[in-house]
Amino acid sequence: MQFSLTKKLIIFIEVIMLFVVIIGGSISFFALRNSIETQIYSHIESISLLKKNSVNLYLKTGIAEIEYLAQEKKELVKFLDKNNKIDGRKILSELLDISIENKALSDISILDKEGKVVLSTIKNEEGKFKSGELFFSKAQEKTVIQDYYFDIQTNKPSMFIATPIKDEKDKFVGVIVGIISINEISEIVTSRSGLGETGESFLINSFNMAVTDLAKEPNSAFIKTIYLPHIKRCLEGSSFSGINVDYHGDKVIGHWSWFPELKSCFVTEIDLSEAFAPARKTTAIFILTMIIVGLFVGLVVYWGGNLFIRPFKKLRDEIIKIKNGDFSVNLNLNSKDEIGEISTVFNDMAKNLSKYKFNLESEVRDRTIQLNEKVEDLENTKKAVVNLLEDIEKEKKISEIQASELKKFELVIENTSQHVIITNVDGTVIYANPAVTTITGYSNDEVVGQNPSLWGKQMPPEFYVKMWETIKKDKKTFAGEIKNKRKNGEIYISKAIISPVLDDNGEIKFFVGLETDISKEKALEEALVKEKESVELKVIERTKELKEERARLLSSINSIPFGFIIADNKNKIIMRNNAIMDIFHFDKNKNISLDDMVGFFDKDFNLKVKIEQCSKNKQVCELDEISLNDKVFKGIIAPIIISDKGESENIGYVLLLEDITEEKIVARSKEEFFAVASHELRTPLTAIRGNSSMLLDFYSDKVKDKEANEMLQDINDASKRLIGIVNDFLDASRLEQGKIEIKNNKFELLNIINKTIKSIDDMAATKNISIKFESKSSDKINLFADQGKVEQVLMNLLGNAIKFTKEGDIVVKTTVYGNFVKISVSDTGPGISAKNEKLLFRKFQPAGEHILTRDVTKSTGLGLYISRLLVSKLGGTIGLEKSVVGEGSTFFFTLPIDEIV
Amino acid sequence: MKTILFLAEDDPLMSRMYERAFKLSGYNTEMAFDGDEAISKLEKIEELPTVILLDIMMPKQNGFDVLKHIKNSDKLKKIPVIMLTNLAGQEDAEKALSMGAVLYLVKSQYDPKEIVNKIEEIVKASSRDDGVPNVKVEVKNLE
Repeated sequence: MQFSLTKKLIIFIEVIMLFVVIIGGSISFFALRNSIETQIYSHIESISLLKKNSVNLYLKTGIAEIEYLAQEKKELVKFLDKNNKIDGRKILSELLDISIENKALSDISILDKEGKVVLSTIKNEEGKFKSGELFFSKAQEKTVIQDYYFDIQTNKPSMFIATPIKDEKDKFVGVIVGIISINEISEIVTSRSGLGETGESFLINSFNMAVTDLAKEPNSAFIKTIYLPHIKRCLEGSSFSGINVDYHGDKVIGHWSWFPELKSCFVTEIDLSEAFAPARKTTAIFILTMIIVGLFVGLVVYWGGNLFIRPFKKLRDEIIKIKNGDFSVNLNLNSKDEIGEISTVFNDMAKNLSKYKFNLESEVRDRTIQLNEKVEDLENTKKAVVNLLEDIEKEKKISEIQASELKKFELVIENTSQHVIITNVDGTVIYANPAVTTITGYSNDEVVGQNPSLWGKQMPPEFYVKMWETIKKDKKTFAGEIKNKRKNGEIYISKAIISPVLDDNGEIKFFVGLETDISKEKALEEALVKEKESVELKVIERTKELKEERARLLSSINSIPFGFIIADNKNKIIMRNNAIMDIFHFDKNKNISLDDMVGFFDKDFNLKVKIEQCSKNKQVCELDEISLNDKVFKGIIAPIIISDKGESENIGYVLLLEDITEEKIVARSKEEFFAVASHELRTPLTAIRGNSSMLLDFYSDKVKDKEANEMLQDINDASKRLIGIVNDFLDASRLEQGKIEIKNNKFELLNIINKTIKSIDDMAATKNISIKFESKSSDKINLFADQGKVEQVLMNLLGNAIKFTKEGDIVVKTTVYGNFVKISVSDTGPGISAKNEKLLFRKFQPAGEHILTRDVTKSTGLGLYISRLLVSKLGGTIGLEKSVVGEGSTFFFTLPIDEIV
Repeated sequence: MKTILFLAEDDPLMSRMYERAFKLSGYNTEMAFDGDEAISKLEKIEELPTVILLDIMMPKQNGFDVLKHIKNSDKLKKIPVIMLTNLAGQEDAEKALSMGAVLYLVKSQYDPKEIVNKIEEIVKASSRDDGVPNVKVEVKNLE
């Protein structure tokens, strides 16, 4: 796009103006907003404080009144003493007066020391018992303020003050209860004076319940709960101001403060839109003013600019004229400045150009006339030559076409496989093509000059009579099948066409005969008919077989417990069994389509898409845990592929569905059993262990009896063993189920061995056994494995070694073999005989010599079994290295090494 | 003045046993029998306990919920928390320690006296530092 200078100038100035408007507007808006925000904060904080004070004042007048009554009204004490039998009606009328006079109190009740209401300004209240209520016991000692609660009897929110009445001996004789008029408090809280149109204040109790009505939701007191982070913060005891989103979703500026006397949050808020309205208005006026100034400046620049630019425009227009070839220019700018000079020079330049142009034009005109004359001569000569050449060419072409047509005809007849003869009127052959020789076996010389009956005469005589009648009398072409005889005597059948050739007068001149040997085709036809008959027989037989096969297949797929479908590649179901109809609850005789089935599956499983995927990939797909009619299934989609000459085609698929709901239920109950077992078995066992140990630890003086002490010790030991068994049992089960995760990290093996030995040293020391650690090299062996599990295996082997050794040493050794490290533990125990060796590492088989005497070993028989499972999870092996009965055993396990440093 | 312990435990067998053990060892014990009660009692308590012990499987809110509440409360977050449970899963232990518990003890692995000893260590440490006690995290014999 092109911009004139004036436009550019205006755009430049307007852009600057725009910047001024944006920056100035923003600064004024934010400055105003900030100052307003501070003002509003102090405003709403003071309103909030004022309201809280007046609510407090209000409450205090109620409390003061009730406490005054309790302390000064001696008639009450007398009345409560039943012995005096004072008529309560006088007191009641006084109480009624007080409740009317004192705005804070709506009702007053007097309770005797048993908690019975003896006097009340509330209807039907007298005679009720309040002794069971929480406040009653507290109010026997001091004044109790029951904060907001929802009174079910009166069906409205209430609050009351209860204070004890005591006689002159300071003995408790009853309670006076003053019901606070909630409506008055609500009115103070919700009065909206000074809060503008959207401002409001309300109370939220510690159950996040709005206690007073909300302005934006009428009649919401004790109905609406508000869970908002800032309300939560306020209810935790903080007081603060800020901008938040309120219960109605509006942005509000407000003050939230904890109201300890009412155990609630006092909220004062004003909608942000209203609060900041003045700032927005002032900014709008500023922007409007700036826009008007901008428009005015634009107009001034437009006028001024035009005045300055006019001579340039004129100059531009004249130059455009010269460009278009008009040299009759005269720039008259009447100006004495630089522009004036330009105009004089420009006028001279235009005059010179005009003169030069005229000379050039006349020369060009002369040259053009000369050239045109020469061109005309040349054109005429050329035309004459072209005509001559064209005539010669035409003649030559015609004679060539005739010659080639004749040649073609001859070639066709000579080379055709059809037998062609021409005879004269009496039937003598005057021409025979080479095919005649090929078909009949007679040479060209033998045929020419002879009658065609040489190879004919094989049909009945009346056939020939009829034939010649058609040709000679009717002068029409005969066409039909004729039996002939070759020179070698062989009979053949040919398709013959015989035509008379007529002259201009309609007289017959020649006969032309065409024959095609069709004996081969005939033979083929006969063979085909025979073949067709036998094929039909076979088809009938095969169809019967197929039907039987299908019936057998159907009955066998009906007997399998899985749902089964065979469909073609257009999802048309070809075969299905009864089980699949049961799965979908279809009637057994219904014709089903894939679409009938798709809707039964969970929404996130699309059977059709899955089938398409499998068919496309030509691979068997397994379906894992799909839900259908509240049951769980697994299944298989197997595409049916036929391969032919290296190309495979998908002709359909098989769908199998197996109900695994029961398996799932069993698996889940197994999991639940372990969860319950691990927690619920341990708790009672912990109680037995803990209580028995406490009797030994804390009550040793009470169980001084040696036998009782021993029995307690046994209970404690037994419970510890039971806990150990539960733990081992769970460990083994989880390992078997693959539920234990291996968490690998890098650690140094020798360190861990030393640490493990240290932790079990005390146990060994009680049996006077020492554990020695011998490492063959000083290198550090780093492993990348689950450290806890390695410790567990070593601990188990060491524990066994200590158990079975009566006296002597236990030796731990490490040896490096290639990428593995072997850790072996040798004891000086009883050893294991060869026949028991193979039972080691099995479930419930202790490592002792006497398999059936478990009490000696005090073990569950699961230790080695667990160790075996753990080691195999860690990628190593575990075993008995050697054992000599009476001398001791050496157990070992191996682990893969990460690196040796 | 006696040191106060706070124990949240729903099983009466367990709570009775531990309360007795703590009493015999010279501690006062505040009790709660479910997660909700633990939170509301801790919120209202006038004299803050020195150590809080939490069971995990409890009605209404579980031990993790209570622990989260404690660690989010300005008032309570400095009190050391011991998880005292019969859940022996490695993951549970790691979760509790990452949430700020100082110890994860599996009940069946310890006699009450041993648990009292652990508490004693923590009480000593917290009185020394007058802040969050510097106790080593201990997890043992987990599945």
